[in-house]
Amino acid sequence: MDGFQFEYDPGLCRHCHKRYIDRNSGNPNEFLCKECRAELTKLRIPKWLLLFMAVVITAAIVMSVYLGKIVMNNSTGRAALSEGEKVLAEVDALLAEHKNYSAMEVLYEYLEANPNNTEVALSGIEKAMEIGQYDYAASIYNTCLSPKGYTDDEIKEIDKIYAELNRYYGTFDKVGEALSEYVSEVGTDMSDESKEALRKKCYNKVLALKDDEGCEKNIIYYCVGTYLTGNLDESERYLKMAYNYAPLTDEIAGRLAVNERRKGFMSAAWEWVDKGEKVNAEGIEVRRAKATILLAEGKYEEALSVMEELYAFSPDGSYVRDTYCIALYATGHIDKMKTVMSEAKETDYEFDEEFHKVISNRMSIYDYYVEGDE
Amino acid sequence: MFLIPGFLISFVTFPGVMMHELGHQLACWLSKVCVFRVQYFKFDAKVAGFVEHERTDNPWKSLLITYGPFIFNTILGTILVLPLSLMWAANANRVILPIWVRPVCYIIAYFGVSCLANAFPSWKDAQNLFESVVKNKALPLLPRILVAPFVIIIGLCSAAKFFWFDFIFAFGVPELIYAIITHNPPHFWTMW
Repeated sequence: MDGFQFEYDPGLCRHCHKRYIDRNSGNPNEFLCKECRAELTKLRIPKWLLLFMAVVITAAIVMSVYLGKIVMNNSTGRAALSEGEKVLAEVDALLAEHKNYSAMEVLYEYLEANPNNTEVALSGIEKAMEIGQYDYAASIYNTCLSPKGYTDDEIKEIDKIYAELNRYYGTFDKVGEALSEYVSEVGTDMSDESKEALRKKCYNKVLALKDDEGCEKNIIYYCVGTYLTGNLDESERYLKMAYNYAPLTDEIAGRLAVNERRKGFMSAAWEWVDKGEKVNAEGIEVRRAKATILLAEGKYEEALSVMEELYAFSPDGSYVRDTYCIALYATGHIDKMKTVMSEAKETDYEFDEEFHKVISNRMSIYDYYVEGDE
Repeated sequence: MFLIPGFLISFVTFPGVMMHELGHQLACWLSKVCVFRVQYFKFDAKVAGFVEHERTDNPWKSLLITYGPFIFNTILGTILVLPLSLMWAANANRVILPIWVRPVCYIIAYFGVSCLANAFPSWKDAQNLFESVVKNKALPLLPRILVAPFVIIIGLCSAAKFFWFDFIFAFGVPELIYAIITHNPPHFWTMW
C-alpha cells in the first residue's frame, strides 16, 4: 500500500462521521444524523457550574426572604415618612403661629400611634426643646425612644437629649425639696419675723444650688423670682435673669406682666404680654396675665372671652379659676361663677381672702389687681 | 472617561461572562438549535467565552439566541442584587442588622452586578445577527426589517459601554429596586 486513502462520503453526519445524515428531518440543509441532533440539542451544563449557581441563587433567595421580613416588619418607608413629614409640617405651621401646645399635641398624637418613627420622634423632641416644652420632649422620649437598636449618631443625640432633660427635671426636683421644707416649716401662727427668717433661709439654700454643676441656673433664678423674693423689684430682677431660657420664657413674660400690672404700669404689662404671645400664644401664664390686665382696665367681656378659652384648656393652671370667676362676676354671670366655685371646692381648691372680698363687693376689681395679692 | 481594557473588565466580572455564554446556550436549547461547543470563560485577552452553535435561518431563533444573555443575565442579576437592595432598605429604616449580613449581601451582589454588567449582547453578537438575518437575502423582507433595529440597539449599547453604560445598568438595577421598595430616591453615594 502506498498510503492510506480516505474516501469522503458526503452523506455521513458531519459530527460523528459514522451515521448517515437524517434526510427525513424536514431541513433541506440538514448535516447531522438523528442521534447527533438529539444529543447536540440537549442542554449540557457542567455539574460544577450548576452546583455553583444553585449555591449562589439559594443564598440570594434566603437572604432576600430574611431581609424582606425585616424590612416589612420595620417599615418606616416612604408612606410612613411622608405621613411623618406632613405631621412635622403641620407642627411647624402651628409653631409659626406660636400655638405651642396645639403643635405639641399634634406631634404627640402622631407619635403615640407611630412610636417607631424615630426620625419624627427625634425632630419632634428637638422642636419641643427649642420652644421649652420639656414635658412633651420627655413624654416623646419615653414613648418612642425606649430600648431598640440605634445608630451611633442617634445614640449621641439621645444621650444629649437625656442629659438636657435630666438637668431640667433634676434642678426642679432639688429646688422643690428646698421649697417643700420651707412650706412645711412655715406656720400661720408664726410671727412675720420668723416667716421672714425662714424665707431668707430657703432663699439662700435655693440660690446656693446655682453653684451645683448639675443644676440649671435659670431654673433657680426663676424659682427664686417667683416664690422667694421679698418684693416685686427683686422678683423682677431674678425673673429677667432667667427670661432667655427657652423652657421658661413665656411663663416668665406672663409673670413680669403681672408684676407690672400690680405696680399699675399697664403699658409695660402689655409689652410683656406681647413678648410672651410671640413665644407661645397659648401660654397659660401669658393668657391669664392678659385677662387680669383687661379686668384691671375694665374690659370685662374681653377678659371673659380669654378666660373661657383658658379655663377650658387648663382649669388647674395657677390662679386660672380665680381669674375666671372674677371675669364671670364682672360680666354678671353669677350662677356660672358659683358653679365653677363649687367645682373648685370638689378638688379642694381654696380661693384667697381678697378673692372673696371682690365677689362680695368689698374690694374693687381694680384694687384687687393693682397692688393687690394677685 | 476611564479607559480600562475590556479584557480586564471581563476578568473582574468573569461570573457574568460565564452567565452570558450560558444565556446563549439556554436560548439555543429553547430554540432547538445544536450547540457544538461552549467555553464559559477563559483568561484570554481576545475572547473570554463563546458558544459554537449551528447556523439557523429562522430570524426569530437568531434574535432569541442573540438576546438570550440579556434576558437571562438581567433576570438572574436582578435576583442576585435583591438582597443588596433590601439591605439598603433596612438601613434606610434604621434597622441594625447582624454583622454578617453586609459582607454576604456584597458577595452575592458581586455576582449579580457581574451578570448585569455582562447582560448586553456584544458587538460580535450583533454582527452574527446582522449576517444571519438582516443581510440574508434568502429571508423575507419583513423579518429582516423587524430585526434590523435590534442590531442597531446592540451597536448603540456597545458604543455606550465606552461611557460605562453597562455598569450604570448594573448598579442602576439595585438602586431602582431600592427606590421601589422604600419610595425613596436612590442616593448612591451614601448607601454603602
